[in-house]
Amino acid sequence: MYKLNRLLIGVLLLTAITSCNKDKDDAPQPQQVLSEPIIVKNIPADVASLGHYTFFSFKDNDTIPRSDSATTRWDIAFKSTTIIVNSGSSGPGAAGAQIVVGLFDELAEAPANGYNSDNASSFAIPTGTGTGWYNYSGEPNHVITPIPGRVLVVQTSDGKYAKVEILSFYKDAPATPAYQDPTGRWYTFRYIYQPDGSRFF
Amino acid sequence: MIFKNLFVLCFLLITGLTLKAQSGSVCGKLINDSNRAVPYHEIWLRGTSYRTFSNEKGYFQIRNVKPGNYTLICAGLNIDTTETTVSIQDGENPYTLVQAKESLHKLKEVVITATRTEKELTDVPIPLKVISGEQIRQMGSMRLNEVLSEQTGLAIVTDHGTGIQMQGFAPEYTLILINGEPLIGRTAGTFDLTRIAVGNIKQIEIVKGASSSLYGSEALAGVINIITEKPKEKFSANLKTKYASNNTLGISGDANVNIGKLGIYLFADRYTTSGYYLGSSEDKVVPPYQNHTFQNGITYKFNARTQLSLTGRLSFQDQTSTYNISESNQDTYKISDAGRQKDWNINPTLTYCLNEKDKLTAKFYSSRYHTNSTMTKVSDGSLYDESYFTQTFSQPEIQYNRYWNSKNETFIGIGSTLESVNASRYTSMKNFYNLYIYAQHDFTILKKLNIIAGIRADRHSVYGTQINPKLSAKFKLSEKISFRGSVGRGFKAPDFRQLYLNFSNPIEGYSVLGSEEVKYQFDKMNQQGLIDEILIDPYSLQAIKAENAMAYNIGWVVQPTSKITWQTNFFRNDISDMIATAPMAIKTNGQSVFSYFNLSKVYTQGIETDLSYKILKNTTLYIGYQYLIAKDKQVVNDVEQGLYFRKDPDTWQTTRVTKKEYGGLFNRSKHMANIRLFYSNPENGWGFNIRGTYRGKYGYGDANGNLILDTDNEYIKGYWLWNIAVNKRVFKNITLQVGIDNVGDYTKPLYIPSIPGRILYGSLNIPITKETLKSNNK
Repeated sequence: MYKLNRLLIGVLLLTAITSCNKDKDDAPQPQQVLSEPIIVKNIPADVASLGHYTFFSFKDNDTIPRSDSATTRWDIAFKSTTIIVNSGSSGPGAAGAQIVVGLFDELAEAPANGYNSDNASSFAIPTGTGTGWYNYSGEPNHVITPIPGRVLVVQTSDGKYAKVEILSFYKDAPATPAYQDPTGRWYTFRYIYQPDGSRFF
Repeated sequence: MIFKNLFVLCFLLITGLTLKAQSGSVCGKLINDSNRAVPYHEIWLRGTSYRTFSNEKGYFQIRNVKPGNYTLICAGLNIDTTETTVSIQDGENPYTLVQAKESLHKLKEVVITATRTEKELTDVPIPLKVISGEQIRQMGSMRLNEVLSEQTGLAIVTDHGTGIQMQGFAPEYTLILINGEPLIGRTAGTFDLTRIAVGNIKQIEIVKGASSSLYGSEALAGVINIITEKPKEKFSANLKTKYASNNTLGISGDANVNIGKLGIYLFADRYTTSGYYLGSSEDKVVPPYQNHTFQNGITYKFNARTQLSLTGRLSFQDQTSTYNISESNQDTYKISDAGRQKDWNINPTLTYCLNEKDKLTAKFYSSRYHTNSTMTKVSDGSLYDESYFTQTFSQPEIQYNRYWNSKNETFIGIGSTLESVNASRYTSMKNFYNLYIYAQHDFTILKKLNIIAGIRADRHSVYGTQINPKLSAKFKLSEKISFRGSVGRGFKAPDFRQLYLNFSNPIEGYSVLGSEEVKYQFDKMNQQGLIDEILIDPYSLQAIKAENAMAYNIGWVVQPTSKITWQTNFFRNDISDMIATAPMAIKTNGQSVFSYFNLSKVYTQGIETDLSYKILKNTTLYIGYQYLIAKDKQVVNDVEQGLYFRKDPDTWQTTRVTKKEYGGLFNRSKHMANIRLFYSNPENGWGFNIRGTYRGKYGYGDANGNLILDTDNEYIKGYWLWNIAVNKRVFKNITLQVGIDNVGDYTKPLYIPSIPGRILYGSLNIPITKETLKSNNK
């Protein structure tokens, strides 16, 4: 009897698994086939400690001059470990962002809602170790490491969607940043920008 | 000749007794079942402090005994404990011949730590290990960390000092006792074991599993009790000196004097070392230091029922280290750090036997620990930073023991702890107050089943009430096989830094606030405009709770022949409310403000097994092994949910961590083992031993950003350490020893600073007895 029960459970599980796979196959596909993610290397983030942000546009795949910080030309900006989006207290845009836990490659669709904007007391992408996009190792190595499996989903200034994964906080993205690595504040990240306005990547 | 001596003894006794009315004496001989004399075994009258040893011919005598009926107990290594009823009259008493059964196993060692009562090692229902002073001498060890590093299931871990990991617990969860009283002075939770000299140790008892039902806070993983030598009947003294690599010199001496009712034991130890470099380190990883330790033990017998003992310890340690400090503005200074550490403790204990069955013990243990450190810049000698730390601890306690009969024994105790701490990183002097009561009943039913039930309640001024019960049992299936098991609760109070720390790192700019300080200090920072963002409102926080655990131990002791003992213990610990730091606010400088929270739940479980096998008359082989799993329950759960990821730092490929890949807590070896062979021939004076300890691979830290142990490059490979020693008794009992520690010269610079590479040493041990003094005078 016991054996039979086990068999039965096994069969049930098997059908459950196969049906799950089927669901996945049936999932709606992106309307536009997107290319491989774009990798952006060595974006300086206030390397000289002057308190200046570096602004970036996903659409242009380029940095935006600081003189344009009061425009909606940029989507996201970097200063040390702080990442802001063009919204609320940070800029005139209506951008928003949220952090999704999961694999960058698996995230096929941006969430419909849940986007935050920056305000005086908190950022859309939270700062601080373990709470946002990075972990600070503290003693003895003092290294900033992007938390694996954190995807920054950004609703851009022009109302489109982008998913971003931070890869490194150090210049040339060394595999193992050295003890108290002085080359910090250089971002390397990859992203996919969906220009058609849909939430599918 | 024998009888003449005996006659003289009894004669002296009687003449002594005529001066004092109403006291008798008992003298006799201890023999075994083959009618051979049993020398050097302990003999006492139950419920009194009348206590002696049989001499080299098996004779014994106890003087000045108040007339009455007593139970005379003979016990020791080579016999089964034997009880004889004696009726002592005023004056001379008939000669008593005690015949004891020769012990089958010859492993009868009396231990105290597991139950807080004297019990034979083989009767203890709790996993317990004894390291004898003799074994420590054979190992050639000088400091406590060297001794403990070779024991099954213990791993040396370095975190602000050299500590011990037991059943997978970090060093802060093991209580370290000296003669039953807690040693104080921990840095970041670690009690630095290199502070303890081992030259005066009679035995070390290691109890595994939560023991808070007897000892209160910190006894979560277990207890290590260092039992030092006590005054002996005869005069004796000993000098020892050892010189080892790294310019390490140890000199120690002890002496025993007995003047009538007064017994005095004194010990002094000096240890100096030049420290060492590892790999390409610019500065010494272990700086030069010198330590001086003094210890005494004084006993005074007022009368047969009342005894006062006074043990004390005083220790100084001075060290100077140099290292680089880099500030955030990229300036780097070479710093010279001169540190001094001083600690003392004293423990007067009064024992009073009301009668044969009731005993009262009162003691007042006090201790103080102080460190200070002065950091100066090497370039110009200017002061960089100064800090100090002072802790005081006093603990009056009264315990009442009732011996009902050979099957029932009870005790109850009450005490209080007063603690204070003052340090440069705390805002002001802080005081703790704790009141506690504990009780235990030990009973045997059906002849084969021994049960011990104990409970302790602590009421603390800061963290509230803790109740810790423990139940343990031993079932003796036969003379050869017995099973034992225990269930107990343990706790560890939040320590000073978790409560009171008020520290801002001048270099990095982050701050750490103790949970009792957090509201006040946080408000202060906020008013100064230093806070940028609040992550956790300090006013929403509840008081921090004590960490606690349930411990389960079950196992067996098998002695198939008199030559083999095999012990196995399965353990499981479920730890709750573990305290860890978490950020609660972001400062305007971008750094975090951390405080302490009851965050995680952890479990540790495994098997520990030990085999000792007397291969030949003078040769014993020991093999030990521990299998350990230690994991964070939340991480296990999150990994199962697929919430943990890792990024390959070379390919930037992110993948999900699987359940199998999660390696558990850092710094825990799944496999640890040891193999030790000791040869000691008392006849020709030769001794030899070879000891190997294996530490299996373990995680050292996160390398891929997910903060958990999950990839191969986060592990340190397993390694063996081999030590050998040879000793020979030469001229007049002087023992010469030479040895090599870490024969294979294993080192792991940057990761394991506590392993110095190959060490060569030689030592000389010179015992001084009345006999040797006499022969020198001739």
